Formats: sequence, C-alpha cells, structure tokens
Amino acid sequence: MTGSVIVITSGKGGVGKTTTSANIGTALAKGGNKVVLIDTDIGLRNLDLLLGLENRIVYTIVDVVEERCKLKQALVKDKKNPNLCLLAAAQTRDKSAVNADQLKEICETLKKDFDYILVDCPAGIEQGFQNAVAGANEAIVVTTPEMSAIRDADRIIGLLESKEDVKRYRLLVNRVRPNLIKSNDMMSVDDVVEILSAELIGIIPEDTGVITSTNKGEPIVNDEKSLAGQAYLNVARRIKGEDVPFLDIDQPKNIIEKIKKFFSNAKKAKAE
Amino acid sequence: MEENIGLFVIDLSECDNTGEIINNVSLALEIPNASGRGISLKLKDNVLNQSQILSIKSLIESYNSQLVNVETTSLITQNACESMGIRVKQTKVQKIQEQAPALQIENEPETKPEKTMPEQKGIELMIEPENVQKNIQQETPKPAAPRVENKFDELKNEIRNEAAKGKFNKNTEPVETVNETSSAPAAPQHEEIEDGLKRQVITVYKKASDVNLQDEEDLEEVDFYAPPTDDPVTIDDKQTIYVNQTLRSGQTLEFDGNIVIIGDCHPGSEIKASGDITVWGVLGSIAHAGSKGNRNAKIRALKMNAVQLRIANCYSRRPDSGNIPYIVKSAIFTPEEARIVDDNIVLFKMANQ
Repeated sequence: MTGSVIVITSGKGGVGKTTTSANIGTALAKGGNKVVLIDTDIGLRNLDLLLGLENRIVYTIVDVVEERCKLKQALVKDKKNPNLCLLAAAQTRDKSAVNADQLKEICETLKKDFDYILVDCPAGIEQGFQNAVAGANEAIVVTTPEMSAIRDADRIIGLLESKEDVKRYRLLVNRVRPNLIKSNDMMSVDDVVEILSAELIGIIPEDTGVITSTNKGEPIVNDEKSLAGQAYLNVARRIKGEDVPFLDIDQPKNIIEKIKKFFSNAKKAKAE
Repeated sequence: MEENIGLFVIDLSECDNTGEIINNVSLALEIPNASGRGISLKLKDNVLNQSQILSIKSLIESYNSQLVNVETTSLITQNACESMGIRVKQTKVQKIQEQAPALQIENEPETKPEKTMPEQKGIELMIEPENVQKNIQQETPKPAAPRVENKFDELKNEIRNEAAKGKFNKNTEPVETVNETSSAPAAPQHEEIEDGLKRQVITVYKKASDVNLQDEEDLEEVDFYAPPTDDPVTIDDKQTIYVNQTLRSGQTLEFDGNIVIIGDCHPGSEIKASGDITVWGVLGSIAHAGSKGNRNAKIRALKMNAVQLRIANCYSRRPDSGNIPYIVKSAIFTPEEARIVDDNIVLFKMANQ
C-alpha cells in the first residue's frame, strides 16, 4: 500500500487549517480509508482538541523523533473510528524539535500502512511549514475570501510550486458567507479562484456549528444536518478522485426565502 | 463496658496490597462491635511503611478504635510500627482490657509523622521558559509539616491537660482528637471508606493502555516515564518546592521531590515529581507523581480536571464525559486525591475538615 501524503496549509493563521484537517480526516476514515493525521504545530497543538483525543496522548511526534517510543505507539486511535489515527505534536517543545528529514521519514513509514496521511501545517512560512511540506506529495491550500488570507495563500502557492515533491495543490475556500457575497460585501468564490488561479477542491460555508463542534471535540462531519459537514464530506470524496458537484451553499433559511429562490431559479431557467 | 474489652482481631494475611488491606480493615470496622475497641491486625508478610501504617491507624481511629497490636513477619513493618508506638508480635487479649484507653492517650501524639529533614541537596529544576525560575522558592521542610506539628503539639498538650484533670475515662472517647488527625498528611484515606463501601470515589481514571493503539507488550518494552523499580527514598524524606504561580500551557515543571503549586495548572503544561504533587488550585494538565517509581505517591488538587494522571508506572486519562478542552474555573471546589489502588488510579474526595 502506498498512501498519499497531503499537507493542509494556508500561510495565514485562523483560516481553518486544523478544522479542515480534522474534518477531512474523519470524513475519509468514515468512507473506509485508513487515515493518519499528523499535527506538526509543535508547541501550539490543537488538532487533538478538535478530535477530542487530548486525554489519550501519551507519546508525541517529538518522542518518536527522539526515539523514546516507536511510531506505532505514538499513534492515538480515534474514539469512534478505528480507521483514524492521530500523531500528536508536543506541547512543551517548539518547532525546532523536529526537522524536515525526520518528518519525511515518518511520512514514508506511515505510507506503508495508511491510505491517506494528512499533515496539519502550522501558520507561517518558517521551519514549521518547511517540515510539514517536506514529505507531502499533494497540498490543500485553505483560504478565506479576505484579501489578507488570499495574499498569504498566494505566497504559499508560490512556495509549494518550488517544491518538487508536491505534485498537485488545490484550493479550499473556507468560511464563505453567501449573504455577504450577495450584498457585494465579500469576495465570491469565483473571484478567489480567479485571483489565485488554482484548482478548487471545496467551498465550505460559514457555520456556527463548527464552533460548538470544536468545543465538544467532535468533528462537524459527524453531524449529518450541518452544511459545513456536508461540504467537508464532499471534499473527502474529491480527494478520493470522485467527481462531486459543488454544494449549493446558498441555502435559504426560511419559507419566504425558499419561495423567492424558487421563483428566481425559474426565471433564470426561462431566460436561458 | 463489654465492647471495650478485649482486642478485635482482623486477619489480613490474605491481602496482597495496601488497597486491599485498607478495604478489608474498613469492612471489618463496619461490624458494629468493632468500634471503640483495641484492634489487632494480622499482617503476616505484608510490607507496610510508616505512612501506610499511619493511614491505617487513622482509619481505625476514625471508627473510635485504636490500633494496639500488629502481628507481622516483615521487618520493615515491624520497625514502622515500633517507631509509632504500636506493639508488634502477639499479645494476650486479657492484658489489653485496662490498657486500651490509656494507650489511646499516649498514642495520640505519636501519630505525628516523623519529619526527618533531609540534607539540602542540589535541586534540579527544569522549567520553560526560564523566567519561571525566579518565582520558585526552595523550601527544605515539607510545607505542611510545621502546621501539622503545631496542631499535634496543641493536641498533645490538650490531651495531657485533660488527662490530668481526669476527664478521660473509658466511656468518653476523644472524638475531637480523632477528627483532628485528619489533617495529618496520610489521614484522608479513612474518609472514603467511612460509609461502608459507599466510597466517595468520583472517577476511576481509565488506564491509558486500554485506549491507545499501544499494545501492552510495547508498553513494557519502552517505559520511559517511570522505571518499575521502587524509589528507595520515601516521600516523607523528599524535599519540597513551592511554586507560587500559574503554570501555563507548554511549561513543564520537573523536580526530584514533592511539588506544591499555589495556583492553577492549565491544560498543556506538565508537572513531574518523584514525590507527591499538590495543587492549590485547578489541576487541568498532565501530572506525574512518583516519577522514579514510587507507587505511594499521591496527586492532590482543589479541583481535579487533569488530562492525564500518572503515578509511578500507572497511567490514567480523564473520562471522555469530562473531556472539556478548556479549563473550568468555578467557585466550587471539591478537593480530591489520586492514589494507586490495584494498579488503577482512583480519585478520592478529601476530608471536608
């Protein structure tokens, strides 16, 4: 078995890299794939919280690198899904505790046993980023429809293009608010794709459920009603190579909006 | 008084560990005519150190009984008992009849744990970031010691005065005195078993090995947190440091001895001590007591919300039901103490007084 190593990165902080990692990982594992999530944000780890696995971590990636334990021992199995494992970062160390070669080696070893290795990258373009990207052969660039995030994503894409191992990078636009796009207060997804001229892998709508799911330590893909959860499930299917149409995130909230939308769609159809 | 006559013998020769002994003693003490009597323990080859004997003694005293006699074949137990004024080997039941109340008065002050001041050794500290170090003061004696000793001295005098007045006789039990001993370091042990086996155990933290991918055999191969051998230095002999600050995420505090933290321990930090860990605040991090293998080490906190508790080579994790990623700070505190019972780490509510 040769798994693919996908790095989830963004450049800017707070755009949802960790949330994306946790959700895509869970979604892939739900689909029956063997998935391992690697948190490379040493010193500021959060991925374990989102998965609700904080209390199970005994060994971390630093212990593996410093040979205090075997790689297998440091993998924490998910509570619900035995296909999903987490390799946690150490909280009491910093990024320099691991170097790019060591991470590459870990990825190579894990490739033999897992279908997907998702690497959660820290913010920034320093050593943490260099480490995370080292073993990757695919990348997902997370961005939000804001100028600052887009500019950072552009910088990251530039860096990714210079990496020989990274064969493919795709864009995930997070926290999209259809209402604001309609009122021209937010860049549309098309604009973002145009500016960055990159392949799109998913559009995730803004969802308050993400906040509660983070606090509960349960990825939102487990919530079937959630729109963001649906969007992440679709992203997972696209990673597997399926052709999935993009979700209509402009979901009407009440009956009046529903009727309005119905008529506007009908009008569009007539015009065409 | 028919009940006060003779010794009540509890046979513990079948027991393998301290947890079992304490369990059996508390069960036996539940029998109505066991209270208010002299107790004799048949320990056979069980090895108990001074603090364990002390806790059993205070457990017995919480039932208004006295530990008078111990039968043992172990030298360590024998020495520990003798140092606390408990009679070792066999004694004729008849002789105790009149002595029991008298012994009680004499024995009481001797429950004082012996505080041997260890010589000041080099204190090794590993704290990140460095600025933490400034705030740490060293303290050679156990911080609790002066207070406890004072209390015992007071008690001693009080009892002597009362005895001189002839106030104590067979019928009036010095109930207050017994309660006061609960301030002794090891005394809270009697609290959880007070109402029979309706123990005030809140949570049995799960063994980490039950849930991780780690195989049991792998854990045995690599145990980097604690060697399985017993720490030769007893907890009472260890040095103690005071840390008067909040321990934040990413900071580690490691010390060869006991640690007392006045403040909270936030999730993401780590405390590691070869002796006991006491947190005067919320413990929300990883705590490892007895890191050199001392299985008698304890972890206490005003509020226990630890991500993981580790004592010697036992691991345990917070139950998922209480798995809240942020630290809950409330005005309600239920002081708890974690100890090893049968290879599990069990939380006990500490005495209210």
